[in-house]
Amino acid sequence: MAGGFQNNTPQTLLPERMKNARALLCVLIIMALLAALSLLFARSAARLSADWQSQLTNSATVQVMINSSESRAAQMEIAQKTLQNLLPNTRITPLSETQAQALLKPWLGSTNLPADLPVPGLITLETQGNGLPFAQIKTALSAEGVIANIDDHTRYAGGLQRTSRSLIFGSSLILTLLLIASLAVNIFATRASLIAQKDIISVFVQVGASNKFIAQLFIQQAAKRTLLGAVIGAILAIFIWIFLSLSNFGALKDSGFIWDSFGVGLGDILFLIGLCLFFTLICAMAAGMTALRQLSEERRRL
Amino acid sequence: MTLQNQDIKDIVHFDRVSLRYARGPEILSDVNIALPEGSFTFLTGPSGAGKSTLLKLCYLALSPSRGLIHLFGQDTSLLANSAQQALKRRIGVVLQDFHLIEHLTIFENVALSLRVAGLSRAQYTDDVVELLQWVGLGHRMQALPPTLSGGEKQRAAIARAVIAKPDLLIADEPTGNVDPVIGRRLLRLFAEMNRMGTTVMIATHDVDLIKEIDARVLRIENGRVFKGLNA
Repeated sequence: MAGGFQNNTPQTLLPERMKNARALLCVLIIMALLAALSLLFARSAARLSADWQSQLTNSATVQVMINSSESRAAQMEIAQKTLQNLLPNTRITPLSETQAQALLKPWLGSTNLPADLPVPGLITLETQGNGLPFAQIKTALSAEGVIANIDDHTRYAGGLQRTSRSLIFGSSLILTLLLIASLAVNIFATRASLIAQKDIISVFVQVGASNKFIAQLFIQQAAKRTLLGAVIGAILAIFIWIFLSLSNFGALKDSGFIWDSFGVGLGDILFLIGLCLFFTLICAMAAGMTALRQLSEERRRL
Repeated sequence: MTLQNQDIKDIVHFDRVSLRYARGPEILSDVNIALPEGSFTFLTGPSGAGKSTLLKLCYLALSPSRGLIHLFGQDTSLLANSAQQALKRRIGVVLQDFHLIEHLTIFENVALSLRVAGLSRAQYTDDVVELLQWVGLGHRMQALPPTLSGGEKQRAAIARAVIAKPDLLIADEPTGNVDPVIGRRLLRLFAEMNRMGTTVMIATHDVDLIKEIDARVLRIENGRVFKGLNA
């Protein structure tokens, strides 16, 4: 009997085209875009902080206090040899006196420095390993009669950690607020949809549909709508982030700021996929719970 | 005296049921009716007498202000939502204004109660197609309700009400928008369902229709129900 009946896919029971659906989708796309940018910002801040921390942990600057009784070159050579013997796998780079003086410019300005100014000799140490043995370095240099201070960069590392934590916290807070706003948008949309589709719902109720059955329809509708918005928002966020990373961002270019060195990696894309799914899940659940509550209230009113 | 559930054998049993909207006058007053299992009943009366309201009470779209309603032996005032929905699945309803869902095809509209009952498309397609052909809508299965005439919509609404083979069929002016030939055909469908065991209650103005079938008649006037066609 049904041989000629071609259409085998059941229609969705709620109308696909809702009033104000485009406006709602736009709002969801913008929410998802901002949420995705916040996520990328938080991840980039965390990654940049970790990179800098790693660099700081594996590098140090030895300041050789030049004793006026001996020549600068001789003292620097002793220090360099001592360090090379102690740290054979470490890159040891002595800075020339001119380079060392150049580092004082931020404090002393570009005036000519007096010839007898005791500018310390500087040697930078960089290793690929797990940090440097600062105590041993100091002992070895003392044993060779070299008076030296070692700057292990912990002062900068602490500040950097605090800044990065603040950035991550701020981004996470914005992300959370955006998700809450999206939830609210979905709750309003579901309520509006329940009112707009009152006649359809009354038919569902009449043919014996349970509240759960009807709520599932709203869950499906919200999930489709939110997933579409989230995916479009996330894709836009990726493009914007790549654009910011690649573009000549005026004074910020090469400043070491977030987008200066970061693109979008596989990890970021996985996080964005997770964000889209989470975004969809909570919005669909909010729609379902709103529908259930509203339908129960309607039945109580009867 | 309140009736106990085990005392009620009727499919529909009203015990001194009254209904008023908010603080308005009583639309129904002390109505006592009983529809035994397998009965066929016409409900008639002038417009505004309360026929549709009485039917709404029968299919649980309204709750009474006073009195008790038993459906399938169960006191409806004591039923939880889920139990009420289970009862509604045993009732087929044809409404005056059709209540077809406009974005769904006629096929989907008719299949609705089967989908709600959890049947798969493969399980219900043949039945829906057969019934639509029987009511003369075989060529309109993929049409949307706004493109149908009043009579076609009426037939689609009837098909939706009977597709799940309900235990109780309630129809409000089911032949009001169809020509006499189709009207008689639909009445034969109701009679056939009744013969198979469905309890049928039809509200109608159409005296000719009432005379077509040897069935019990209830008349409603000023919110009170009487037996027989005439006072």
